Amino acid sequence: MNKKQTRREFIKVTAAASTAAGIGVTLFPGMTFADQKSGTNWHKSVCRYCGVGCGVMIGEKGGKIVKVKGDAQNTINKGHLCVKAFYLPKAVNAKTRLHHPMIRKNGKLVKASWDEAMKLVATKFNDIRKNHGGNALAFYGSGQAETEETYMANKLFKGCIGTNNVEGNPRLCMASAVGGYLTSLGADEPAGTYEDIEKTELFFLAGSNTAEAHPIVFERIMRHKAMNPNVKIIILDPRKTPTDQVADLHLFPKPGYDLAVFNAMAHILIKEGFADDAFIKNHLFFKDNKKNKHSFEEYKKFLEDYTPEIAEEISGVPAKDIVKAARMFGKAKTAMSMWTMGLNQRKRGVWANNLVHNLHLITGKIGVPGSDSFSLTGQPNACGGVREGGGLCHLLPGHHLVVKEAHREKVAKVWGVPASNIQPKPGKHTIAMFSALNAGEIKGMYIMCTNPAQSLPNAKKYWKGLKEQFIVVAESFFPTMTTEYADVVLPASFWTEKEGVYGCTERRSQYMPQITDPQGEAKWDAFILRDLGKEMGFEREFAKYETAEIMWDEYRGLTKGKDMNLMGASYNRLKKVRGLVWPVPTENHPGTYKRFTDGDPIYDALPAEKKKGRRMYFYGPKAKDGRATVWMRPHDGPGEPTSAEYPFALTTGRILEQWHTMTMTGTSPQLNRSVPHAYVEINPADARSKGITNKDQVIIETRRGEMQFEARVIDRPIPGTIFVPWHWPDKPINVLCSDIFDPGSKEPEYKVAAARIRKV
Amino acid sequence: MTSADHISRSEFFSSFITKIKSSYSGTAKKISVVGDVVFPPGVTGIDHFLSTCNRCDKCVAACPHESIRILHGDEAKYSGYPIIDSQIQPCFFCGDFPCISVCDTGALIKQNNMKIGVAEIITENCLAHSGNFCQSCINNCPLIGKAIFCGTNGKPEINKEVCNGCGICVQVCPAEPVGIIIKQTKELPCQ
Ligand code: SF4
Repeated sequence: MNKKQTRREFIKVTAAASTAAGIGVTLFPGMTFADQKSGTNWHKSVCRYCGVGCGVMIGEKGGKIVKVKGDAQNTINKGHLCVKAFYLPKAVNAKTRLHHPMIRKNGKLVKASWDEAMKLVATKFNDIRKNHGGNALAFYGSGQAETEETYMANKLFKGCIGTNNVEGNPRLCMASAVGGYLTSLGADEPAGTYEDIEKTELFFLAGSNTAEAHPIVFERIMRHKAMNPNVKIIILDPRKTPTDQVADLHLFPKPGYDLAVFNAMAHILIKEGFADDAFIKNHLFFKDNKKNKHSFEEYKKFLEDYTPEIAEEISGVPAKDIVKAARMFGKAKTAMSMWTMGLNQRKRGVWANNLVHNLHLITGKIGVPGSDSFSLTGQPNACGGVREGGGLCHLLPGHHLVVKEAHREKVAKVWGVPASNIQPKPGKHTIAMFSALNAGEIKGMYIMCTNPAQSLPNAKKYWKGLKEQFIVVAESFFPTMTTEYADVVLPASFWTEKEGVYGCTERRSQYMPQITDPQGEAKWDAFILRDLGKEMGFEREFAKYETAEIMWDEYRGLTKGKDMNLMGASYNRLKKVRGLVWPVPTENHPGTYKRFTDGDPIYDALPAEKKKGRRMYFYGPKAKDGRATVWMRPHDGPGEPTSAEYPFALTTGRILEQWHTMTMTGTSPQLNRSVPHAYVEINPADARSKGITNKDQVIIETRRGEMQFEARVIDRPIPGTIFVPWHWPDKPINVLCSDIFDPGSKEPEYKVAAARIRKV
Repeated sequence: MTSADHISRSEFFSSFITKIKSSYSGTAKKISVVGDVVFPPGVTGIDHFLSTCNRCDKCVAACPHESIRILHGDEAKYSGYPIIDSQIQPCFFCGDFPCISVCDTGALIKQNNMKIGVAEIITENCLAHSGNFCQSCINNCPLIGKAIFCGTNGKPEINKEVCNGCGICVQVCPAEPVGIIIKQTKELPCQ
């Protein structure tokens, strides 16, 4: 009964969207358009929410944000937006926007002046630094902060205060992907871009509910499949999700037991002749867990332990489905894997990433149009601001490392600080940092644009440190669970009230203009940090940062000659175009669709002898001889396996209509109506055996506590698995999640916790 | 002075939740029924229902989800009868249908394929029909992918045979005005 969608109808949809965005007079080329009829000015910008990075046109009328629509000229979303973005004006104009600084006095947060607040923070931080050393201070930032904001934080903490305790919430979502890319391909971030979506024959979506977490990417996948019925889609997820609308094959592993499935797929791919011998010979190393090199033959031997039957035993995925998946992957001329938290938020997140890369490397399905091993990023600027901007404890801006003396010297010189200011040892990673806060080792923390009291795993455990130590929270919204513990809350400008750059999943950096004045006394986060630096005595170091562009240009300079070269992405240019995909070394370079191969300026500049006999050269900082690495990662289960006492695997995730801790989406009644409260999904078979019926109140209990939810009895999670979306502050499921983390990436295993469930 | 001026730690949670409720929710919308009037499950024919139901309200009391309410006001024809307004609270099709069990007039009778209506998209309101990626009705339909599904054009489509008119899609629709309604259906009585 499906009406057949013709190519013409698709074009019609897109064309409608384009005309809508194109009406009116151009005020600034590529940037601002006036619609004289309605009196609305439309400004080109980027969606505030997810890592897809959709282009938006923001409608402003009389200094107020009135509407948000898709930017038809943006290559990512071509005018389309998901429902969250549609309601963004509600967040901008919300009652819960914070308009003035607040200081805790006698246990209560009371309104204060900027002057008083800044003096207090500076004095406190300086005291702590003097009495306990720089490492008693810490910064905790966000993949939603602009690159310029994270850049200021890095300079203040790493360059001036002298501590590498600089972290951010991307540690909780993308660290394993970073680890995967660095160890497998030698450089962070994907080789391909979204352009591959329309060129591929097969999607392998592993641990990603793309339809809800990356809606516009999913829309592109769906459209591509609708127009090309031969395109196949394999899903690997312990839960059926709305993404299943497009599935040709779904593999259901028990949560945390999928590593064997990837190895078994590799096993079949090689056994059935799908390996690309030429690519293997000239482009790859094989290594075991101890980093010892092996031959392809030895890798094959390693895979003998992973027959589909053995993988079935470990994972619960039927052997025949694994074989089928491997054959589909092998037979397709091109294949694109995409994954997110289902693989990253795991005790073996890096390994899971490596094993997906393996599939592409051994079949040579990488570096050609339509083939890529493509990690989807959760937040809008996790790639740009934190991975590239160096907002983690071991990094410096522009893919530099704190452990490298030359890198410290280079960055210190640009910052105008002595190189000895930058510690040679990485600081504390997120979980270690909040543990140190609990222990009183860290005595002061600056939290920007994120809500760790709700979002940390095993969150309650870390409330102690937040309560006891000196906490500064810079936020646009109030209250949040984190401001409850703040000693000082600083009102931050939001989205349309500041300019800056966001870098999304596909290496694309996009500019966002300031459209309106900050509300109330709110200030731009980068300026707050700059002024705090001055107040703390770093007057000279922060004197020059009068505009966002000065910060961006300084940062951009640090990327010169790096794999993530952004020298060609000046504000001037970014204002006119719909983002640029790095490496983009010069102002006239168009950006790079595929890395490590023809058309990549870094590859093209390599001497001919290096490229001889190859089509890719993995030149990244962690690669040797231009080769990528196939890792022999053995099977490993979750950190907290189920037991007789806790027989269910609890897993968590996003839904389409809400975002993170709801400070933004919670401001839209329309979105709240859609999914008004938290719930737990339970398989009908499990519900029957537990005497639970739909909409019953149930208690979920893990080793960390219990919480009450409404049951949604539905054939989505596999038996033995329960699912809770994580957004609601009155039901912060992360309190129940496990904080066991990946020893490599230090990313916690949100995705598997042993739990039990009972009817109230 | 704004309400954010004084918040103590102890007051936090209550204030937080209230604040969420006051400024975040505002979910209550107009009470009058959008679309057709829809009756509780077990109606075998509208005329039969109207002449049999004695308006005892027992089904209203029996409904564990407060989905069934009495229609007051303008729709004179149905005034005083038990109805379901999906925008306020849809029908969850309980396995044991307590509403039918308590009905002793024969107005509501258990049948094989329970159906109270059928969903219909109002294209001019539907967000997906105006170029947005919205799948709230599809994602929340309890008959996963069977009653409402995403057409190849990225827009929701309804299988009128499978849809039982529960109205969850109406309740969750984030469009304003609402982009989907429940219509009475000729096949309602499952005759
Ligand atoms: S898909 Fe992501 S970036 Fe695009 S409109 Fe939705 S939330 Fe924004």
